[in-house]
Amino acid sequence: MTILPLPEKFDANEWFILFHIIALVILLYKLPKRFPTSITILLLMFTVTVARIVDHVIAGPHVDLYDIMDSGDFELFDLLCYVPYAPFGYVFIYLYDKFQLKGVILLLFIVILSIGSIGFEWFTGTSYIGYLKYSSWKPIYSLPIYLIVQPCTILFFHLIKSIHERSLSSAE
Amino acid sequence: MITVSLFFSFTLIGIISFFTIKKATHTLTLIFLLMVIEFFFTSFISVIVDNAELWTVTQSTRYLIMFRITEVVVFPLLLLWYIELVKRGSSISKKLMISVLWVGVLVGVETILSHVHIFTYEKWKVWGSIIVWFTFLSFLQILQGLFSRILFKEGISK
Repeated sequence: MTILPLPEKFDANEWFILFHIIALVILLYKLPKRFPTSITILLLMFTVTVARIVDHVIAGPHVDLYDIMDSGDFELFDLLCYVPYAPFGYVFIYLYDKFQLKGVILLLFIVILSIGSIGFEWFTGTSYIGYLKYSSWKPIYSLPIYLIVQPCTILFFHLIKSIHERSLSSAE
Repeated sequence: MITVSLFFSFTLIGIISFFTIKKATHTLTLIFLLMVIEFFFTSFISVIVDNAELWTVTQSTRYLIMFRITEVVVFPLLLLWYIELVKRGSSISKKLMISVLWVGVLVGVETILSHVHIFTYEKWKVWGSIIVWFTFLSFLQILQGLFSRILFKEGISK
């Protein structure tokens, strides 16, 4: 009985996660502060949580459309592997808010990033990285998921921002 | 089908009632805790069911859907109810009583699910659930305090 197995081999996929964790720390440190701390935490958590729920439902036993990391078990690095999602969601909203994207530009932004995400997902599934191991899933199946999640991230951002602003004005 | 129908009805009543009551906890704190709960609770289930095989989940699609709804909706909702009730507790003894009561509620729900064979305990005892829920409730209390402090510093929460 193994509660939280360690990696079978400490190879490219583990380095890939560690690299992203370091990148996230640098990103948060270097990017000019744009949102209050509470909003930043919620934005970072949002993408991580959505990814976790989706993976749990469609990659868990019984459904098992793909595996993450070395095996079908939930490894220690499976817990850490959600950290790479956090900077993507944060930068996505950062750019959206900074450039006040609207209309066709926003549509293009979402579509291009969704296609880019598929490319990135495909790359993580190659033998160079070995982060994802597909059984009956193909990267192209993720396109509608990205196209749903990205607008949802924007809606979530507007929701928490409006709650924050309302609370701030009622406290004053 | 009656079990499924009742299960969905009670879940929906729980969701509706949570949204209709006036809350003592700040909405952003509840959103934060909901995400923490979802992340850690689904991870806990993966460890217990997939790795350690201490629980066996049913193979029936109908019950599997119920199991997924329970872990993603029902338990997180019960945990948010707990945060809300504890926040209303005026003294430490009352908060402690609510915690004990709520561990009972969570273990009770778990036992009902096991009783109707949505999942089965393999090498798992009820005291294991009691320890896990107490730990989880304490962890949430700590996180609730930390996030509320951030909101306080930002001037949006008392």
